[in-house]
Amino acid sequence: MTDFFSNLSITTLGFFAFVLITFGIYYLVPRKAQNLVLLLASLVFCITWNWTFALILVVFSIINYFLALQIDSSQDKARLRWLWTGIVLNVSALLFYKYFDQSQVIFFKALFRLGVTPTQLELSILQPIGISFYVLQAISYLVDIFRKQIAVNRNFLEVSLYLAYFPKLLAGPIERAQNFFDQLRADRVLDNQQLTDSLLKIFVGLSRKIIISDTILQTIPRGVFANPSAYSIMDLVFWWFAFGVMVYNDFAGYTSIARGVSGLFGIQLSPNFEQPFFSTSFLDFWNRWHMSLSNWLRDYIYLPVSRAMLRRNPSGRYLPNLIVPPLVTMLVSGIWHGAAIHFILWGLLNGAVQAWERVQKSRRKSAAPPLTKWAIIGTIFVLLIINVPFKLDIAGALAFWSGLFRWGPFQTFTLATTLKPFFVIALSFYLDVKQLPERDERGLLRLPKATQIFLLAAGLFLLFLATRQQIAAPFIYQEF
Amino acid sequence: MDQNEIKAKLRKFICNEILNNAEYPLKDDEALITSGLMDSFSLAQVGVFAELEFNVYIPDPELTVDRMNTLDDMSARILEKMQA
Repeated sequence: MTDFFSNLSITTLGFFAFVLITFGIYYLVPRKAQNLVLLLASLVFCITWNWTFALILVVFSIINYFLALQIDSSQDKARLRWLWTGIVLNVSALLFYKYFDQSQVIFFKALFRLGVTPTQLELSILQPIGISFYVLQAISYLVDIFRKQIAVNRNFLEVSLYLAYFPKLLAGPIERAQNFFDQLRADRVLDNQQLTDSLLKIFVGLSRKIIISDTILQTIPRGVFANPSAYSIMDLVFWWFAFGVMVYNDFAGYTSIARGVSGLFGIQLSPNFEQPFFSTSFLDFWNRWHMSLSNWLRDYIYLPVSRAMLRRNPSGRYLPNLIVPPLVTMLVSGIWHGAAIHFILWGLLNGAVQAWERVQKSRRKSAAPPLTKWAIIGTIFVLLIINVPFKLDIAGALAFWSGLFRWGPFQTFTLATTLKPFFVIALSFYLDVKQLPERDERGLLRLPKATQIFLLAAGLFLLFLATRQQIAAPFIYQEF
Repeated sequence: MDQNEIKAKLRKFICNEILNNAEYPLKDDEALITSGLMDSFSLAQVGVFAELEFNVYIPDPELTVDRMNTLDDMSARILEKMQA
């Protein structure tokens, strides 16, 4: 029983049992107590991973709650000072948990000398779940108050829930404070339409994660990424593309489940994906991929940097105006993703292609960009190549890129190795095409009833098989 | 200054500085962002243009597709800020 409710990842049966219990209590208690139920459930969810994570979240909530009050009640320089105190504290906490080897920190060394062992401190799992995501939310909350875009929230419960809300805790979406607070204050509605939407999102999310992403994960030959020099361009391109589809379905699947579960409580979370494999440009891609992070980066890094530069030189053709903002923004994105040089390279490469695209755009006469299949294929191909350092370290990425110039036969092309990935990649694109009309899972409700029933039955059967085999791998973005 | 004057100045700025085509027949309700004619950098340009030309500040989170997609949207937002 303890194992059943430990480390509640959102594809486990334990998680759905947890959701059902919370759901039951939530709709039994009076409206006024519902937010408290959600907060307590969120802390329990944290405790299933590690009790210290819940404690850290509470401390984070208290600190940011008081920082927000200080910013709101201060003027001029003091106001700015409190904002920067908040930003520095939040970023320092993130850097501490994410990047530093805690065994080397003086405080812990002192504890070790006193006889406390690293195991007792559980240092290996000290990085709190979701910290990368709720730190960004905390910063945006403080900045929005500083900019006087939103009013400070004096309700500690709401501020805590904004950071801790369990459906989005592991890996977002990264919500904006005002939108979330408005929903916490509104009446909760769970009608048939809302229930259908929520269950559909959960079903599609589970299918994307377990049927598509995990299947690809099992079929990728390990040597392709560990030793790419032994493979030809055909192998590398095919399996790298499969890996891209895997990451997409892993994260899009997670987001759909999170949004679906949240919908059951009458709270709508932001979308994170909009068919990114149909992007017609690099800029378009980042408006469709991990949208809540892209929007956060746009509002708190890209636009302020762009506007500051444009105020110095308003020309839209001045090269630094075009190059610096995307480079800075994607560099921050790279650092946020991980404490390794290859993530910085990944960020700079993505910033560079965006800057290149912007320079090209500034030089041509207006015309809507061509919405052709070649624009889509070219964009995805370049993105796949420059995203190699997302997965591999610098040496691995260089070996992989050099493999792209090694012509040769498709060594891994056997029916046994490629049939499953072909099938699930096709399924991924089928889902995307069918989601296009509504831009999310509701597009599938436009299918003929017979097709819907067939997809539901087939999906449930495959999910049942996968659950029996217990093959669900951890979500990739949960690691960030 | 009324909305039509704001619109006229904005149209001239967008056609000259963003679309690089002074002759472009930009309609009031033409989608600029969702059509791909403008992107987030162009929105930053419009934001700074509004500061310099109309002396109003449009916050970054308001420079979005649902609030600034057409000339009508942009001019209405600028007018709203001027009257605030």
